[in-house]
Parts: sequence; C-alpha cells; structure tokens
Amino acid sequence: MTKHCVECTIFVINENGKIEKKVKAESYVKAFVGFLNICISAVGKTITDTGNTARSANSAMLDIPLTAADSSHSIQCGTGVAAVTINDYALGTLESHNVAALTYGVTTIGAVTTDGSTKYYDISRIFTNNSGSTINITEVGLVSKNTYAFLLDRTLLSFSLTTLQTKTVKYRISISV
Amino acid sequence: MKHVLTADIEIINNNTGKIKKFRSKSFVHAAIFGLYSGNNGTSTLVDIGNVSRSSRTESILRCDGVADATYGIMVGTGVAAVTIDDYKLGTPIANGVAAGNLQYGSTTVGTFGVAGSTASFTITRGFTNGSGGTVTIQELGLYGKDGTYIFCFDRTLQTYAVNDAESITITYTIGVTV
Repeated sequence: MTKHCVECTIFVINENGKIEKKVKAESYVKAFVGFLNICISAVGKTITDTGNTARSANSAMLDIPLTAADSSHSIQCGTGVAAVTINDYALGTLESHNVAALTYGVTTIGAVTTDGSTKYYDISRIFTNNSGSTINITEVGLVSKNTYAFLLDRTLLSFSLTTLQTKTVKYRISISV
Repeated sequence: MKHVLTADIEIINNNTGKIKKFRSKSFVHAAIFGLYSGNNGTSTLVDIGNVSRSSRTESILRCDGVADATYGIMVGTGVAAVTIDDYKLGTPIANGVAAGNLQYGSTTVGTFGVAGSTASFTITRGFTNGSGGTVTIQELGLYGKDGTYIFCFDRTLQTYAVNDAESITITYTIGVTV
C-alpha cells in the first residue's frame, strides 16, 4: 500500500448531523505545494491566485479566514465538472455566496486531535440553500486568503441541497503512521 | 488511485554513484501543526527536547539551514518503530569526525515546480564520513526551526552504511500528483 504524508478527507453532513458523503480529496493542487515550499524554505514564492494572477506569496497567505457571507475563501462550492489538474487555480464554476441562493456560513477550524496513530484537524463550513429550488453542487475547494486567495484543493464531489436545506462540508487534514 | 502529499527519499553515494530510493514512512507530530491553518497565530507543541513550546504555525517546518547541524535533514541510529507522537530522532548522529559521527553539510530547499501532473520540490543535504570507520544510519528525518525552537516533523527508519571517507547526499522530494 502506498504510504502518504498528509491525507485530506471531505465529509458532507446534513442538517441532522448524518454523514452523507465521505471521500478522499482528489488532490491538493499546485498552490498547496507552493505554500509548503514557502513554509519549509522560509522564502516567498510566486503563486497564482484564484483570479489567475501571479502573486508574491508568503506563509501568512496560507490563512483560512472564518467569516461568513464571503465565498472568496475557505471552503467553496461550485458546479464545474472538468477533471482536476495539478495547475487548477480556481473552481471551475464557483457558486458564489448569495442570500437568495446558496448562503455561505462561518468557517470553523478544530483543534489538532489525536486518534490512535492519526493526528488530524477539521475545517468546516455550513451552506444553506435559500434559492427556492434545489442546488446541485459538483465540486468543492479549499481556499486560503490573506490579501490574495489561493486554491489549495479542488475535488469533484456531487451533492444537492433542497430548498432551505443546510449542509456542512468538512475537510479533515490528517497524518498517520 | 487518488494521490495526496507524499515524501520520497533518495540517498546517493557520491563515491560509488549508487542510489537508494524509498518513501517516507510518515510525517509525525509536528507536521500537522505546521500545516495547521488554524487562522493563524500560534500552536503549542513539543519540541525535540520534549518541552512544550508555543510557535507560529507557519514557522514550524522551516528547515533551510545554512550549515547548521541542529536542524534540516537529520540522521540517527535509533531503531524504535515510528509513532505519531515522535518528537525527535531516537539517537541523532552527532556532527563531527569522532567515531560514529558524520559531518553535516548545508540543507537546501529547492523551489517548487510542475512536471506533467506533479508539483514538487526537493530538500537536500550532504553528509561526509570522516570518522575513520563505517557509520550506519538507521533513521532519518526532518527537523524544522521556528527561529528559536526545533521540531521534528518526519522520522523514517532506513538502514544505510556510510564507509569511512565516503560522502552521501540525501534528498527528500515532497510533492502532489493529480
């Protein structure tokens, strides 16, 4: 079995707390490796942001903001279906925050937790469908932001939110021995 | 198969040209704190002296040391199984020319790049055996330094004998393949 350094698992949890989906992330993409390189070398690098503009990035830009009603950062949902590539810098089609459509809640980041030979932490965000009709999500992403926003992961993941339904998307970042 | 972040390690014997390749058993302990996007600020974790320290999360992984044998790629002779809570190598090999020592070169971190569907970068360090006898490495790892405190974020068991007067280069390649 292939051994991995860092795994990423995504959960979709419904309003009753039931896990509807649990998938391994398709992959981190280029920017994540870039930020890891910055952290290890302590030297800033040029990384493409979600607007497809090359930015001089530093480690502070790996921050995950927590604020609600802002779809430019943290966990994003979209409707793109194109295959993930290493050079992806944004979701295919971002489903933006809209109080009359898909509403982005706050992001929470859990503490580092030990479970046997695994250590992990969770990044979670609540989404609510206020559109009056079903919204079908086909991709999710993890985006850091501090001045500029950078896509760290993009995963094709399908789920639906019926009218007024709330669901939580949770990224679990883990290492295991 | 879906791929996530991996760390591949290569040891090159600079005298014979022989190459040994293997994959890191795993990042340990400090790695998850170094990746902790906890908005940012500080985390409290155990350093290589088993003392709890408060450190900026983004600084924990820094291992680009200029000829500093206290962090970066490290080697040792410990053989105990790796655990998630390991905070240091079992028995680090000292920097020097005394019996059982190796001389540590500088750790360098390359820039990241994309080749095909892989994004990766390397961390490299050379070691020279001037001890007068064979030194057998049993473990290697990555130590990061936040400016003050040192944290171990990878520990991998691997046996590799370095003969007297030989030098080796150890390279970690950290990357993601989609």
